[in-house]
Amino acid sequence: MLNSEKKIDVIVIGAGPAGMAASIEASRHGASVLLLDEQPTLGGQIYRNIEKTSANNPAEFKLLGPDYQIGLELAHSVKNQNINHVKGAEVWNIEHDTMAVFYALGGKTYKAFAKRIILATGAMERSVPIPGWTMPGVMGVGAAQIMLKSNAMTPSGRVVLAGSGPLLLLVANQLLESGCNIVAILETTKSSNYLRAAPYLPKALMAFTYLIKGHKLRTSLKRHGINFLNGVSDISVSGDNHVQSISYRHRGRVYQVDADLLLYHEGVVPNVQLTRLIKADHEWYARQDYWRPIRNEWGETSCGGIFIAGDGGGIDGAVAAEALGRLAAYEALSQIGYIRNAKRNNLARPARKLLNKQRRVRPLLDILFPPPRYAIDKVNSDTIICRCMEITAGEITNAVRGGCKTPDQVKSYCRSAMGPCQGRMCGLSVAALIAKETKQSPLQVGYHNIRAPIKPIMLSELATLEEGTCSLEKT
Amino acid sequence: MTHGFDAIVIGAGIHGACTAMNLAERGLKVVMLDKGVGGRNSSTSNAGGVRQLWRHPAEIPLALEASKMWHNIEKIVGDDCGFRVSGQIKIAESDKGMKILEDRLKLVKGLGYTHEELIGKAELKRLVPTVSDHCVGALIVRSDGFASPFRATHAFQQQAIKNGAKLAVCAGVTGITKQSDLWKVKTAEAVYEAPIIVNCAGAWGDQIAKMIGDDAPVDPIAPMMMVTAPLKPFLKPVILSATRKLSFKQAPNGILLIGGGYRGRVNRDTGETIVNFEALKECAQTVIDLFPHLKTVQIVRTWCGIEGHTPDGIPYIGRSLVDPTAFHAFAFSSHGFQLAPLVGKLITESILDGRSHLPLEPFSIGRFQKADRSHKE
Repeated sequence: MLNSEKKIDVIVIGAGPAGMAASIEASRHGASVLLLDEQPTLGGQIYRNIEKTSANNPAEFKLLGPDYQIGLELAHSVKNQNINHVKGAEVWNIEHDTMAVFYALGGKTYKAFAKRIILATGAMERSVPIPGWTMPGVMGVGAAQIMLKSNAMTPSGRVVLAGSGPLLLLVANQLLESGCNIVAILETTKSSNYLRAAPYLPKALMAFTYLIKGHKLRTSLKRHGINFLNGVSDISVSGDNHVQSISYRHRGRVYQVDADLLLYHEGVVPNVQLTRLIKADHEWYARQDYWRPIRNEWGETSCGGIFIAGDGGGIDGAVAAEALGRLAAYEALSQIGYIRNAKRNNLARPARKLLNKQRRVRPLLDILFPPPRYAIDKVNSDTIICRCMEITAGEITNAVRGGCKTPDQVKSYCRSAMGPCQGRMCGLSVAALIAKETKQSPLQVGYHNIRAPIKPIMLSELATLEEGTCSLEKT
Repeated sequence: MTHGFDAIVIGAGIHGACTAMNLAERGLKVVMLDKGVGGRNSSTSNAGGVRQLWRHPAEIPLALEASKMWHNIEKIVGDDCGFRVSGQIKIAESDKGMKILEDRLKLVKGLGYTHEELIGKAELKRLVPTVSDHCVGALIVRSDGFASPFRATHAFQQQAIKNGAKLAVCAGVTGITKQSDLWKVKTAEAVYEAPIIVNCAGAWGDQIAKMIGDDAPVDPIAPMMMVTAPLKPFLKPVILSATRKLSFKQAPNGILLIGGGYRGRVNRDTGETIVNFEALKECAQTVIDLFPHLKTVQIVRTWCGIEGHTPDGIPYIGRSLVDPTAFHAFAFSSHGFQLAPLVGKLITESILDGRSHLPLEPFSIGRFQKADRSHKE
């Protein structure tokens, strides 16, 4: 173990709202900060490429709206602090006992030691297998928005958007405004969800703003004369090596629509690869069917000294993520000794107020956009579940019938989740299939054991592993 | 039911399952007790090598017979266990390495065995076209191969159950006593009774041995493995090195499995293991030195499982020193997978026929007790 002088005060992983806010606060109060991020620019997924978009593509910057534009201030503040922001760094391992963070950068790998680690690795689109979903021409709605943010690129051809969640309508409007040819929007959300959500309305101060926003998005889409349906089910994709048509069920009847691209979205879930890797305790969030790391009021996980901030700890949205990033930084600063507890508590007050306000809308959203529990019953035996290893639902079902009861046993048996993504994509689906087959809840089934490297590394990168924090280029 | 058994097998890994399978086949009522679900450590986390090459002299007769069984494995357990005949080949990178291989061949031939064969550079290049040009020759066993550890362990367990053996999972043994010719084996849930007891507890075997009354040192280790993304087939044999730690193969689906005995950190009490990337760094360099074209290949997974290692690197197999109705087969020191079809059969013969058809004396549980005593005296 290194002596404490050679340790960085705080290593922050992820430069989205939570990671940027945590870095700014930690640095502002005197801590040395290493901010590691995979992207070439600040912003994470939500504020992806924010500085360049604002400077180089004003039309897209305007189109992406105020919820995107507010990220610019955070990015500027990161630049104004003495933060070592390492771009293009892929974190592939963390050791809790040594507090070492392993990352790949420019063909080599490095191992940096921290006094405190703040994970701000965010959310990912929920991966929901439907028949034909691995065909070229199917992608996530979030992924399409990323293309818009990073390269100002819009998809060509006939586009169908399908699924559920706040992002679906937002991106539909953004794509429409950018000139995209949307032929249908198939919302799996039922209109009756709005009635079920009604009791939560008075508690959510933001709810009305939110609903009005949603209503505006819907009206705008309908005004454009787009075929916009609610309560759609049984979505499947067909084509000859590329998407040609989408079939779906609506009010009891099956329809088909020709398309070149399906953008599918069923909400977002925490990316738990790193918190699973360090073996932090997790809990099952049954309202949205996902695992989240257990954290205290400051975001500290059961692995002392390692924090999780932002959507990686549970979906709260970008504004809440910023507040959570600050809270984690204050506690880290206090643990290292930069600030006293009284000061920590004072600093935390506005962040907590903001967080509570943001969280009040969650129960409403959870009811409006429930997880697609029906989807696992609709997969065919030849539907691929694990994309990396091309393992089908049938193979997984066979493994369970052969006596496998946990995701890890299924993994050993049929090689699911053994590919480069390490089960990040199929983890929840594999567990859901086992749960269905064994008539258990996903909570009882559990989750894959995650091992390093969580991102693939080349043999030559591993062969050059060295201690230090070399960055190719400083911000 | 916790009584009425003829034999209790502790540990349902591949050796426990094979023992239970053989005992049950010969008509005994058998129960396997496992602290987990059976076979979650070295049975399924090993590299799957089916190797006669470079065996400890005492193990050679066992390995030769086990090899024949692997070639016939589907008839034994009803599944081919992913077994492939590929050859195993130990490569020399220098004259010094070649000398080590020649000395080994002399030793093996002197014992009367002919399975290992020395080959020169031309034959090596023919068998392994992409190996680095600096490699000079190799020692090979052409009938060696590899199998899928998980499939094999699962198949042995299923065959044991098919033969009538019971499997109690989450049944960690907390105490063992003997009363009027009956072993009483305690778990958190129950007490199991039988006149015969077999210890197949792997890296925890020394703890079970102690409960029986035998003293046998075991070092718990965690050999590490790495796996790469799939590549086009370029390598048939399993590759070992004469002078460096390496075990390297390409599976039928194109992935590379890289091991060689580099060890991770291990906590036997919690069952936790941690991969040591500092050690794997050296392993990655070895692969690149032997196969320069693999530099940019991506490692997608690593793992380690807990294995028991003995001071002389060969397992404990055979009858207890303190009680003729207790038997051991554990601590295979990271090369027990190949012996799996055979050892349970030999133990069964020791129990039911009074002796096994191959010699087990070199694997006696007491071999270090004697040494210790003479040392103290």
